[in-house]
Amino acid sequence: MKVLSGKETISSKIGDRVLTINWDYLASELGARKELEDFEKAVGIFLRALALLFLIIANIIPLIKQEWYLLNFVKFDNISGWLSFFAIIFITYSYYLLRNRDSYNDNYKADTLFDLSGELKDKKNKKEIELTNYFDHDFLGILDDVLASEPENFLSFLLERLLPLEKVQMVIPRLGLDVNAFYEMQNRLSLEKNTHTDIWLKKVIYESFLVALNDEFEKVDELSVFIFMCKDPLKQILLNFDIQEQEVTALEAWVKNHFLREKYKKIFEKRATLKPISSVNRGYTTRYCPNLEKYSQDYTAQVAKSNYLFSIGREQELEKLISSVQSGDSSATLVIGEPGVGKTTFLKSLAVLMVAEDVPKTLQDKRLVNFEFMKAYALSENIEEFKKIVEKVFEEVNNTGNIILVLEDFDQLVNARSQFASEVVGLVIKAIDNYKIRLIATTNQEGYARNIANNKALVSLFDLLYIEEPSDAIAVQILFDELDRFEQRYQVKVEFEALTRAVELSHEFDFDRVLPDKALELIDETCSNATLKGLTFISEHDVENIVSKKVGVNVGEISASEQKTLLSLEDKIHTRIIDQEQAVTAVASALRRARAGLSSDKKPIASFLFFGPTGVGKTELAKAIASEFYGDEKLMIRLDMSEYQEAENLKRLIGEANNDEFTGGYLTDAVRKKPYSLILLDEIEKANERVLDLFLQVLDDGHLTDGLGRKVRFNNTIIIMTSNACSNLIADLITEGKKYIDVYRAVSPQLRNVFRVEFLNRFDKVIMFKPLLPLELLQVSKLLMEQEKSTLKEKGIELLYSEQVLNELIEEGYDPVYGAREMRRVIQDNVEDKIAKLIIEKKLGSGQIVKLKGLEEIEII
Amino acid sequence: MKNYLFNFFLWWYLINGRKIFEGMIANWGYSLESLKIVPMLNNFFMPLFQDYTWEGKLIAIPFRFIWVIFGLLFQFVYSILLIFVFVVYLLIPFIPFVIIIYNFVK
Repeated sequence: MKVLSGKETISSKIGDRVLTINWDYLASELGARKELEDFEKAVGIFLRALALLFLIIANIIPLIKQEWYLLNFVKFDNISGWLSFFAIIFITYSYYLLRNRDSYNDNYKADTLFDLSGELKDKKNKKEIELTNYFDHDFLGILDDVLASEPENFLSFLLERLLPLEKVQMVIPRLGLDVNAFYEMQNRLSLEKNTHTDIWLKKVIYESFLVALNDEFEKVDELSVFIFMCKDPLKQILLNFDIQEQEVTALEAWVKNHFLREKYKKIFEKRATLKPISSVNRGYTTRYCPNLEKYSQDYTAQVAKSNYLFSIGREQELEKLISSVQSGDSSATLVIGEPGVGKTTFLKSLAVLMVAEDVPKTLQDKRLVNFEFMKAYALSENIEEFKKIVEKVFEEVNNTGNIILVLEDFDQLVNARSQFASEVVGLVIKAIDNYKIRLIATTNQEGYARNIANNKALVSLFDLLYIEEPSDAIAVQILFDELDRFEQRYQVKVEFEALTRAVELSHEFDFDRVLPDKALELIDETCSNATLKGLTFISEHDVENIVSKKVGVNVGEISASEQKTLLSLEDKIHTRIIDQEQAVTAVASALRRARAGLSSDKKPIASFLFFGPTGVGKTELAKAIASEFYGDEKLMIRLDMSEYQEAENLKRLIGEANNDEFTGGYLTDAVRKKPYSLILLDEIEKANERVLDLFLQVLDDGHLTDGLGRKVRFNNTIIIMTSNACSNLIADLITEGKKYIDVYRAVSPQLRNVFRVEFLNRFDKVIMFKPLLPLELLQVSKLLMEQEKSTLKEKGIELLYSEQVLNELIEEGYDPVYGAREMRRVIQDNVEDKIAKLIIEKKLGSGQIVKLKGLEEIEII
Repeated sequence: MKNYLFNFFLWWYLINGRKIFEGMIANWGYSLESLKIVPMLNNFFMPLFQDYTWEGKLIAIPFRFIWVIFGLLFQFVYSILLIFVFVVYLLIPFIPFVIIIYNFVK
């Protein structure tokens, strides 16, 4: 090992500032730092006990002798004086020995990274940064040990030392693993090469320092080292344990949030005791608001009574809200977000900041009060009374001056359909115009579109603030935060993966709702389901099972039976479709890709354009896919595109909002209701150009926005469009005896005349269906006859037919243009009709056998 | 072997002393805030509960005045107490020396 002594400047910098490591200090205890600390603590406890004993004796002796007086400890002329004297020294010194080593190291420094991040903002400060000043004592102990023993396998040594530490043990379960798994990793690390101290020591020190600085830790502690280990040297091994990089990132984010919130919570709890929770402010300048008090919830008072609630990942929005609320003498802010996105929690976060007085001066010593106008409405005898209450509430808020008024679900108050809407709108506008009033209203997207957006005068008064659905990563953190609640309520343990999976899967079925609400409910449902089954541990599979039940499609791991089905998909489809090898293979492999999770999440599972003559199995194949993949033929949304030849028809597909009337779209509503379904668009060549443009977006992005601005996701659908384009040409070429591939090549330029190239390019596969030749048609006729047979069997009639019948059917029904459709007609005419007639004439009934020797020769047995 | 005596004094006065001093200031501020002296001074001529009648205005000033006087008095006593505690903290390490000197002189 290279000699590590003195003070070394490392090559990396932070800003302009040089980083140094004081090796002498790190190595100063020769590997005994931890033992020395423990020894000091033991001596400290011993001295305290001794001092206590001394004090007792020193007071008992004079008490017995009846010579006790207060200042006897200052005199050395008796044993009591001596004992008291040493007791004072011991107590004082033990106080030092048992000191909190987290905030003080032996370098006489009490620097924290909080101070440092403050200093770093000051660009002029160019002092060098001594990294060791920011190490906590556990990490110092480990490094001291490393420098003394120079382990051959540094990383394994480090991990072994980290694992018993408290903070590390706390976060390990968050990765869904237990400590033993990490000991196993340590074993594997010990077998790896390139883990020598020389290579890793400086890197670990520097990178852990960066982790601690970025994640706003107080010191570089065991947790920052552990996180760095997971991010870099353990990365590969973690993958073997099925821990992906993003899970480590999520863990890091959670750790950061958790400790910051803990820190803030402490400050908050202290400040909360100072916050007045009655209607009176600190300067006694407020007035009592009888009407408001009757119908309101005081958010600041609720929060101050230790109901700590804080949004995760809403810092920017909160900043915007505060700057909007504090602007001018009066203000009005409209918070728009979907139900379940966390609007109330968001407002309560503002209340938390207000309780901690962590807000600009204009908002300090104020209350955040929610006026429950629906309660007022329900309790008023008539509309006049209600209007009076609303008017008075605004007046009271203006008079008292310390209230920020919240109107949740503001759209309900100004609901355009209600009789009093226009008058209430008038009251609101008047209040904002004339009074000094700070107003925060909340609404959702739909309510805003229906009841607020069309009233220009109202909209112009408000600052709009959109609360978007949180990202998946943030939603996972929110779930993490709520986890204790579930675990306590249901007495179960929830794995980390279950949370991430719940967030992922919640997108798959709940379209009307948003994160985090829908994921929370999914976890809730999984937990309650697990309790019913007597489970105490919830893994991702439990979540998957619940979702599979909801959507009717397996979303979890592929089971053995499903595996069999998937591998023999072609055979299964071929029981319904004759020939069309290319089409069946393409479809089967697309479905396998989708089920294996290899297809893009953002696009439809698969998209095909089937073109070719009619009656060759295009629709039948689509039905087969629906039944194989979604489990039911009925899970198919079928639209005849010849009905969408005009541009105006577009509205019928996606719906439209007309004043307060909303008509849903055929396509969008169907997909919202049945997200797991096959969409079959027949005769796509007849659709209007603008309708095709719409599908360009669906094929590309996997979503559409409907007439009401709601996002409809198509990522669980399979989209199949069929077209009869070029069918004559295909029929001609195939009859001429050309091969499939040659015909395809010949037809392609023609197809491009019908559809634009960019449209054709969007499909996963453009598949040509070839016309059925007599031999294939023979199989079709057999298939259809078999169907006939099973229909009759249900009536107790057995149908027998000879080869001769099939041959006659081919003679009668072969038509390269109409394909199998013609065959079906022929069977109807020649077989079904005749049997039907026999049944009606009562010549044929249950228990009898009908034998077809030829189409004209029918025998009943 | 380290200089345990030197380190002790360093820690007692610089590190822990600073912490205790900071804690003291925080407590002082907490007490000042809970006594609401500053808001009372800021709104000294404002009537109580927005009662702008002449009776309201009349009663506000003596109310606030008495509040502020008593508040300041309490804060003063509290400050003395805090300072006393801090001085005692500073003196504790010297008590043994004082005792030795006292006995020696006697």
